[in-house]
Amino acid sequence: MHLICGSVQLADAPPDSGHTGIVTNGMPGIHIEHYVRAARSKDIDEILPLYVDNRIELYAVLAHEKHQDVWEQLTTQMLGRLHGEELLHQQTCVEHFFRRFVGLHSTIPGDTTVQFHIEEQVSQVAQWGGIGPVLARILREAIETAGEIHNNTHLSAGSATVADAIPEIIAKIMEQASSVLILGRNEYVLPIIESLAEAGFERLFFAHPDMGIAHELALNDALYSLTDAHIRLPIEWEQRHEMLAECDVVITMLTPEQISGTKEATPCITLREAQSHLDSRKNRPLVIVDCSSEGGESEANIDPGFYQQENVFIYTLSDLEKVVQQNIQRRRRTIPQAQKRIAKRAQICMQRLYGKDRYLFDGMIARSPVMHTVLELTRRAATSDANILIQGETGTGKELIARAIHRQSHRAEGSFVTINCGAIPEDLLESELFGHVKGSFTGAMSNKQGLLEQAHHGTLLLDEIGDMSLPLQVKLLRAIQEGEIRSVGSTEQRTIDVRIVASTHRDLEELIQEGTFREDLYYRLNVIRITVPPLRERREDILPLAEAFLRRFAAPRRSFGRPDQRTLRLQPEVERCLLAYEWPGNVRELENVIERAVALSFGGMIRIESLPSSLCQQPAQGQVTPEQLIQEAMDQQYSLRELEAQYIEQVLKASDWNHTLATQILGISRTTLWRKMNDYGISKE
Amino acid sequence: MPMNFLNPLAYLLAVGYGISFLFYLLSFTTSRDAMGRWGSCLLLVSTVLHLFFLVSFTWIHKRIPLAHVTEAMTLLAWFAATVYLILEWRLGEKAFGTFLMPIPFALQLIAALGLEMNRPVAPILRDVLFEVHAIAILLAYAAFALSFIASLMYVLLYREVTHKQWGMLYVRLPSLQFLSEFSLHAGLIGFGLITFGIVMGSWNGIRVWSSGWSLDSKILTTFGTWLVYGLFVLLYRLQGWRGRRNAYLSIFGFLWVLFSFLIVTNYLSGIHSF
Repeated sequence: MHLICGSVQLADAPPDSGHTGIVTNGMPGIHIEHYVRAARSKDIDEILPLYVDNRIELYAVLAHEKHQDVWEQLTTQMLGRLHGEELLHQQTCVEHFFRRFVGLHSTIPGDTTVQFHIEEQVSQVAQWGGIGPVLARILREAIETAGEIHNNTHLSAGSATVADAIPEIIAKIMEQASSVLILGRNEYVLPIIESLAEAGFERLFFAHPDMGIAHELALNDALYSLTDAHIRLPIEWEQRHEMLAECDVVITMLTPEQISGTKEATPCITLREAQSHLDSRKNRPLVIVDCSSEGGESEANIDPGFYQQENVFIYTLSDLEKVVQQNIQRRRRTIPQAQKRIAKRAQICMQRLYGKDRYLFDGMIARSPVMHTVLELTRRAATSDANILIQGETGTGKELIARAIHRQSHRAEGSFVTINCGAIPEDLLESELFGHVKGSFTGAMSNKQGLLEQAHHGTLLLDEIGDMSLPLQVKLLRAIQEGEIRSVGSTEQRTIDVRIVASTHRDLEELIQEGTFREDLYYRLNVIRITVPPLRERREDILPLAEAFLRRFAAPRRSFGRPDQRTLRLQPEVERCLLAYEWPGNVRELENVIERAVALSFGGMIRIESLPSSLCQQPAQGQVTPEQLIQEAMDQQYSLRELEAQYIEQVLKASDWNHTLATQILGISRTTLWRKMNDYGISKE
Repeated sequence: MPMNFLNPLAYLLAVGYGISFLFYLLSFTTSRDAMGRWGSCLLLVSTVLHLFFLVSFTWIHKRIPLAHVTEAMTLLAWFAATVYLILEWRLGEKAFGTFLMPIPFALQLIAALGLEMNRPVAPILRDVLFEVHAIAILLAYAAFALSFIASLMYVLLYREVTHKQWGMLYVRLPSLQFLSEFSLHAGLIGFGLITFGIVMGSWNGIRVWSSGWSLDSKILTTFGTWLVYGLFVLLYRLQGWRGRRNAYLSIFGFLWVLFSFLIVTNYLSGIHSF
C-alpha cells in the first residue's frame, strides 16, 4: 500500500462548483465519477480528488509504490501536468491532508468551513466508490486531529469574519445579551443575523424606513442557524428609539443619506429622541455597531452625543475589521504549534495504517462500498461491549469479522473461543458450553471447563446459532442475562464476563415465527447486527479476492521446481467467468475454485479449462449460442450498430451500470466502452 | 526551640505563592492552558500547606495568629488565596489569578520577613470576641481585595474596549458586566463583614477598656474604610451606579485599606497592633 498526493494550483478565478466541487483545468465536464472510474484499474485502490483552497489535489492509494507511473498517467490525463509541485508520499501525504483539513493553508488559518467542504466532497467521491478503507481511515484521523487542534490550540480562536466579530465584542461587554435591533439592510445583514443567532441572541428586531424590507428580513428563512426559538419581528421605523429601552445591541446599516423621508441628513438614531429610553436602561450597557457599508469611517452615522453617554459602546465597521485582523494574526502565530500536533498525529495514523489493526482491510479485501460500510460498522462495534449478531450466507467471512471484532476490542488480550452450534449434538453442546463435573453423566470422567468459562474476559463466537436447540437457548439466555453459569451436574454458580458474538446464515426472525428460536434470546444477541453481503452483491471484490488467493496458493508451488508461479495470472475469459458466476458458496467457494485452478494450471496463466465446468457452463444452460442469436437477427436485418448498442446496454443493465464489470464482460477497454456509450447515446436514464 | 519549622515554612509559602503567580502570568501571556493548570495546582498545595502552618501556629502558641500585624498578614494572605481558589473552581475563570496572586505573595513575604515567634502577647488578644472581630475584618479585607482586583480588570478592559485596542486583555478577560458584578458582590460582602467586625470591635472595646474606647488612628481609618464602602453600596442601591465609576470607588477603597493596614499600623502609634 502506498499513499501519494499531487496538486494543481488553479487560476485565480474560483471554479464553477457545478461539477460537485471538483473542477478541471481547462477540461470542462470531468466529474468525480471520471476520476474514480479512471482510477479503478487494479493498481490504484482508492482515489480522492479534492478541490480545496483553490487547488485541485489528487490523493491516491496505490497497491504498490511501483505503480506510481500509473497514477502519474492518470493525473496528467485528468489535470494536465502537475507543474512545479512536488509529489507527496506516505506520511508527508497524510500530513499534508491533515494540514489542509485543519485549515492551516487556508487564507484564514484554522478556517473550520474547509473541513465541511472536504467532508462533503469526500462523501461524494465515496458515492462513486473512490474511497476505500485507507482513505476512510485517514479522514477519520483527520477529523480527530482537527478536534484535538481546535480544543488545545488557538488555531480557530476568535472571529474570522466581520459578522462574527460583533457577538465576540458584545461578549466582552455583556454576559447575556438577547435582544438586538437591526436598522436598515445591506450586504452584511444576513451573515450578521446568522452569527447573532448562533451566538444565542434570541430576539431580533428589524426596522427600515421601508416597512416591506423590515418584513422581508424578519421572514427570511434562508438562514440555517435560525430556529423556532428565535423571535424575529419587524418594527415600525418610528418605534426604533423606543426599542433602545429593551435591546442591548443596535446595528445600523444606513447612512444618513440613505434614510428617505428626512429633509436633512440625520443619523438613524438620535440622542435627542433616544435619551428618555436610554435613561430607563439604568446604566445597563448598550452596544451600537455602525455597519453602514460606505460610511464605516464617518462619524456622521452615529449621533456624536452617544459617545458621551455612560455605558454606551460604539463600534464601526473598521473596528470590527481590526478585531478580525488581529484574530487572524493570532491564529497565524499558533500555526507552528498546530504543525507539531499534526506531525505527531500523522505519524500515529501511519502506524495505524501499517500496524496492528491493519488486518481489518488487509485480511479482508474490500473494494466494494457495501463492504466498506460493513467494515466500518465492525470497527465501531468492536469498541463497544455489546453483543453482536453477524448474519450472512455461508462462506462470506463471518468468522473473520468476529475475529476482527475481538482483536479490536478491549478484550483482545482475552481468549477468542468459537464453537459451531450446528455441528455438535445437543447434549454434548451443553457440556461443551457450560462444562461438566466428574460423574455427572456416563462418560464424564473428569471435570471439564466450559467454553463460556474459557472465554472469560474474552469473546465467544457462537457459530450457526440458529441451529441451537430451544432448551439450550433458554440456558444461554440465562447465562447472558445473569452473567453466571453452572456446569452440568454442578451446584456451584460461577460468574463469567464474556462478550457473545453470534453468527448465522439463517434468517432468525423467520425462525422466531416458526417457533424454533426464542425471541428474547434474539433481542439479547441482536444488539448490533452486522450483515455480511454475499459475494454476488459485491462483485467489485471478486477479482481482487481471486488475485489475493492466487498469490496465496501460488507461493508454495514454487518449491516444486515449477515455473515462477508469482506471475500466475488469470486469462481474460476466466475473469469474465468469475464475474458472471453467482457464487452460492461465496468467498469460500471462490477460494476453493482458485486453489483448484492453481493446482491444475500449467504455465503462467490460469486457463478456462482449469475452472470447474459448472462455473463456466452456467450461461449455456438452456441458452442460445452467439450463432443462434445472430441467426435470429439475420431475419430482421439488424445493423451491426443496432446490435452492438443493444448488447452494450443490456450488459450494462445486467451489471447494474458498473462500468468496470461491463468492460470485463464485453472484453473491451473502458475508453472504448465510454466512447461507444457516447456514440450510441447510452446512459443510465 | 523544637517547633522551629514555622519560620522556614512561612518563607516556603511565600515562594509557593510567588511561583504560582508566575505560572498564572505565563498562562495569561502565552495562553497555554497547561501553565494555568500548574498554577492552580501549586496554589492548592500552597493553601493546604498554609492551613497546616496556621493550625500548627495555633497549636503551638495556643492562640490564633492575630496578635501582630505580620500574623494578621499571613492570615489575610491565606483568606485571599483560599477564597480565590474556591471562586476559580466555581467560575472556571483563571484570568483573575494573574491579577490577584501578587497580593497573597506580597503579604506572605512581608509576614515571613517580620514573623517572630515567642512574642509576648497581651491577654486581651487571646479573647474569643477579639478573634471574631479581627477575623471578620480580615475577611472583609480579603473581599475588598477581590473587589479591587475585579475593578482593576474592569478599568483595564474598559480602556481596551473603548479605545478599540484589541489587545491581550481583550482576549483573556471575562466580560465587563461579569467583572462589574463580581466587584459589586465582593464589595457588598466585604461591607457586611466589616460592619460586623466593627460592631464586634466596639463591643469588645467597651467590655475590656473600663474607660470606654478611645479614638486611635486605626479606629479612625477603619471607620473611613467603612464609609467608602458604604458609599459604594449606597450609590449602587440608590443611584444605580454600575461599571466604571463603581470600579474607581472600589479601587480607591482598597488603596485606603492598604494605607490603613501598612502605613498607619507601622508609623502611627495606637492601641491596635494592626
